[in-house]
Amino acid sequence: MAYNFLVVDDSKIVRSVVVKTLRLCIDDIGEIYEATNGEEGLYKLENHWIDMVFADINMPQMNGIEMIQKMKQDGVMAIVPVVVISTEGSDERIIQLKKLGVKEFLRKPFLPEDLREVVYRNLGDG
Amino acid sequence: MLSHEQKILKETLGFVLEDWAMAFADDHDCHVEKHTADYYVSIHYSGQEKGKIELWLNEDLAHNITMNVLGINEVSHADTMDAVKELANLVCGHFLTSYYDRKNVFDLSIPEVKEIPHDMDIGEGLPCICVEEQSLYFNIINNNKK
Repeated sequence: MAYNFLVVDDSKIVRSVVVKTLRLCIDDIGEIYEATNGEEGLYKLENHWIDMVFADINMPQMNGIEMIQKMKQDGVMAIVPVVVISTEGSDERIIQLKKLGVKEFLRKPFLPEDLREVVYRNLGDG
Repeated sequence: MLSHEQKILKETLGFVLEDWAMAFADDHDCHVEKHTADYYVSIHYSGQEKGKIELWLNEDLAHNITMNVLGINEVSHADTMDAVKELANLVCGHFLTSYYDRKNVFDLSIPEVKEIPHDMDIGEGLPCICVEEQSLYFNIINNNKK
């Protein structure tokens, strides 16, 4: 089964690295959608089937936390696993994110194997 | 002589550049006749304390960092600007968890990058780290310190 992913980050360079890592590490890739902020991310989620979301916190217009809160209010989007990829690493922030329903937290810079592990742990190996 | 904050920031810069961009910092200072840079990037943080981290670096270093991160030889000017912003973001996030207790939550601003005239001397007093024979200048302003 091919998985579809959504990468939400205002930095093109970060999105490129995540997309490249997904293509290298995950065997069965479907579509990888990209969004530059939470608002765009929600739009992509409304219009495409997404199996997993990778989101940054710190973004203009709508940040990652606001996007996740909106996702959790929606019956369909609420079940899509969200992985936060951020430079922030405080324990309290990670607790806050888990309370919001975030499945996993990856701290930048991350290793390709960390991303692979996160995908297969949450989606299975197909 | 570096302050404790500056020492932690310098260590963080070394770690981030090595881990993220495969760019290695030298122990010795870069010997330059004139202190110049092409990019200035700043990022604000707020939480237990408020402050700002600033970095100055030249085009060659920014370009090399971008190529290393993307793993390609041709990078655009926009990619380079983006990489400089992401460098500030990474450095700030890691500095805060190294300098403060990991229990503290900080909010970070979106980094702002500016191009600066190459012939402008950015000043001798700024601390710097030598990365692949290029100078990267850094500064931290803690608004809670008098």
